[in-house]
Amino acid sequence: MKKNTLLKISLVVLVLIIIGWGVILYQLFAAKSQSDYYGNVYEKEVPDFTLTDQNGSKVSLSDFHDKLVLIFFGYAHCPDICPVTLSALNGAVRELGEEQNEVQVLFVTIDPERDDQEALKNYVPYFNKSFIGLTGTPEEIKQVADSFGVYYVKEETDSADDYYMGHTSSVYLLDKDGKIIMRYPQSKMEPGQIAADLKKIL
Amino acid sequence: MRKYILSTMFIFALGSLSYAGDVIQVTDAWVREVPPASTVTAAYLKITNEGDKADKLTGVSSAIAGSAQIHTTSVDDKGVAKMEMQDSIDIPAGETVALEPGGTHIMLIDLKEPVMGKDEVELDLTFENAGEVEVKAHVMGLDDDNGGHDHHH
Repeated sequence: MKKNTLLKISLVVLVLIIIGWGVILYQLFAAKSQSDYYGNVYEKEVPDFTLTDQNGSKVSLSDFHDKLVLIFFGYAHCPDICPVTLSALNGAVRELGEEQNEVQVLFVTIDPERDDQEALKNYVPYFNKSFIGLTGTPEEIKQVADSFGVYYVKEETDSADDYYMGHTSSVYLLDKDGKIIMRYPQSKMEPGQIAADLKKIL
Repeated sequence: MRKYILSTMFIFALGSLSYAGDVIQVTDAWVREVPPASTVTAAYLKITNEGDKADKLTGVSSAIAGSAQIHTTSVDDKGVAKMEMQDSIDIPAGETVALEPGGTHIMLIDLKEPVMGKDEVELDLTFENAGEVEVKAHVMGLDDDNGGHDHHH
């Protein structure tokens, strides 16, 4: 009887110790994955790609192997989300000061039908002269978007010649090896916070 | 006596005039500056219904745009953003409805002249009860501390 009670007490103590360790480990892990960065940690390998920039030059992702790359997929006829996002990225990059040379923002159109070289030239550099707008054939764009897991769809409107695009609105951050390391959804577009992440990584 | 009636009528007229003008208040109206070649932009504003009757924003027009529509941007759980056209926006009595970046906005389509370089753009809002309300919206660019975010205000 007495032995049995002792066993029970030991078991309870053991369980408490295990729970205690669990809590400590969880907090260590949670602190690491939640508070280190503002963006959502998201790791994904993407293949290199080559598209055409607003000046007609061929640009590959691997051209920026010595820079962090922020990529956003959008379109120039987009009046709300795309300007909001490009303005936020401009704010983030400008807060970096001299370090902004180590970050490249790429805007990939998911509306290549309308966004030719000229359309991108009129649109992308307005937000920041260093930003690069990329277009290509519908097939090339589809391939790049697919590799990032970016979805887009044409949404018809009442007028026959006009349409909008539904599209994944997150910004992807790639490290200097061209691998995705972070994702910024629309709820995380605070320029100062994005800049703080970039500074930490640089 | 006649003077009395006239002045009563005058006061009444004045009262109803200010009533019609004051029930719907539009504040913080701004239009996003876009590059000169862009054919679309968005306008944002706050509408306060100070009356005791619900109202509705049923239409918008602007001399600088071929058409203007009310749109709501929504982002689903996969991060896909879409725009949906709204026929009207409810403005409940005593409440303020804010049209903000990333949410509901007035889309100005088919811009006839660039907004870049302008200080203000005139918008004509039509309400179901309050009728037409004319608004001057400031043009805000990248350097106007909006950056698409207005939490500094």
